[in-house]
Amino acid sequence: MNRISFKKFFPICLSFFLMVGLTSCWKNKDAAQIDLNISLLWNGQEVSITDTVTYQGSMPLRLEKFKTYIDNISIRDTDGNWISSGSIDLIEFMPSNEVTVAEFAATEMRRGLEIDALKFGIGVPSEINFMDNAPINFDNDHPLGVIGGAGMYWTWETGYIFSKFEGKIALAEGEDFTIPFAFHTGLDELYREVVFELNSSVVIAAEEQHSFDITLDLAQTISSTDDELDLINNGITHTLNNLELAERYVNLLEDAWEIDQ
Amino acid sequence: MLGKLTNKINTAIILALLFIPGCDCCKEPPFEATPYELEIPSLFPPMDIPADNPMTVEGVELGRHLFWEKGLSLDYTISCGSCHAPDASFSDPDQFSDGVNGAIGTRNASAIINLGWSNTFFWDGRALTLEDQVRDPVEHPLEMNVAWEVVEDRLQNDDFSVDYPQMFWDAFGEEVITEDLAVKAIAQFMRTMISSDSKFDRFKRGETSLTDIESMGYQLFLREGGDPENVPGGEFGADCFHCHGEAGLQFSDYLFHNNGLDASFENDPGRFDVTGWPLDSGLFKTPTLRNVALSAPFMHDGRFETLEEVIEHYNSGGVPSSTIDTFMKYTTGGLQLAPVQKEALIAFLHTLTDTTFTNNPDFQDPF
Repeated sequence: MNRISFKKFFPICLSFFLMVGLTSCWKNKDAAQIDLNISLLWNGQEVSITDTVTYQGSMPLRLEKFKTYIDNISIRDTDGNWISSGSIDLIEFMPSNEVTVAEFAATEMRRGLEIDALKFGIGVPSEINFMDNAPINFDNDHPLGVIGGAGMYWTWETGYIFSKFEGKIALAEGEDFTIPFAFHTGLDELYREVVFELNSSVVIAAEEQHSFDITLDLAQTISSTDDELDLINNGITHTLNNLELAERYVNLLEDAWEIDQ
Repeated sequence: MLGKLTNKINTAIILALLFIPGCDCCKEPPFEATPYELEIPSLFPPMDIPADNPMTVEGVELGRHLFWEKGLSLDYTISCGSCHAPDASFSDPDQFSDGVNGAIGTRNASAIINLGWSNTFFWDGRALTLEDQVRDPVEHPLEMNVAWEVVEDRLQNDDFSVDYPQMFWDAFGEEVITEDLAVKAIAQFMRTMISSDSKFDRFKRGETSLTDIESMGYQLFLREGGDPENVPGGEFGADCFHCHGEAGLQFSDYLFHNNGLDASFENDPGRFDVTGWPLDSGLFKTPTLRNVALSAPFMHDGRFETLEEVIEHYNSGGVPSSTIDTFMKYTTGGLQLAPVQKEALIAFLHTLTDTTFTNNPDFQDPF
């Protein structure tokens, strides 16, 4: 009886395992990968964290830290539909360039999807940001976990720290770096989206990897034609203790990115 | 007649020889270690257990014995536990630890507490796994100073009060004792060293409340430091949260900071020795504040003997240097805490004391 049953069910079992295997393969074939190669600039010149640059024409400024969450890299098809990857990454320029990766498994990828825009968020989505004791809900090495997101979580007020930019300034060449500045931003209201309209559309297809070169000009995060921050007298915010400065900073940060296409 | 008897005996011997290999009575018992069910406290993050070192009851018990085994030092005088005393939250109450042959260490022995959640070890973070951390002190010339080959040989062949070959077999199913297995066992034991029953833990679980002065200290802990007249965003707080945040109730950001102890770092470059990165000069790993009231002296070099001294250091703003942390108030007059605020801060730090951890019989010297 047992033998007959096994013989009877063997082809069914085999078919099942083949289906599972093939489904897995198809899923992988659906995926298209987008890499964002991000480099740092200071007034258009490539820089690394630890470099000393010039602030307000004469003051040496040492770049010491830049970390930010890059949330949900998304692409827009030529019909105007946004497709989200659901990615989240914590990039930290230690000391130089960073790559963040998103996978798109939408069925459209199988035949190739023409896209004309790309976007990502700077921060952590609200539904995670205010989750109770959020980091313990993730694996330790996840960017939102206790270790993977080390130093990026405020337990008592705004949830995650979306981005950190720190450094020190010397008042003159040859003097010590005595004036610290630090922008630690968080809070749902300060989540920002960076949208790139592509100069020419790109076809993203399954099993393909596309790279986009992105730059972040740190000088523009403290000074632009719209606003200029005073790092000497008002250069420290942890968001709630200096919300006005944090908001000005994230507005500048949002506009400081460019895509090289 | 004798020939027939001889034949029968020969047949019996042959049959016996044929059957002995198939007989179970003389076989090594099959290896079957008991999985160790590690209980993760509420509000704690998951702990990553290495796939190649799953925890077992036998492995943890072996690790505990090895942790306290003086045969892991050159002259049989010190064990891991010699410099990580239970009463001091498994740290060394001396500024520097005594090694074998009169050697003296150069940094204060860190508290062993909740290390299963850490991803870097030692003050400079030179070990990236608990297993590698365990490996280091045995051969360190200022600590136990003995080659692992010697330790392997001792554990395999010498007479100890416990049967190490049997314990290694029970834990790993291996007859040959190796360095790798020994460090795995100790790491397993250290992953069980979890503190989660301080007053603050109970407060977070809603089981108790903080006194007024403890609560005041907690609020100071969470507030920005500095006079807002001098420090943008200053809130006259104690600024502790930047590095000793409570994410996952760890009270450490597991990162490296220069907290303004020295103007230069020739004596001990700290993290720089690992990364070679100039901005890492004078940076050291943030220790957890759990059981901080038990784990004096403080800082990587144990320079401060009391919590009062530590708070006074932060209150001063620290010593300026090329890599001092941005959040030290070294140019703006320090934290400027009033005496009552310092007292409150210390009261709060005492709420992180967990003597059920330090007294846990499972962690004590089994010899």
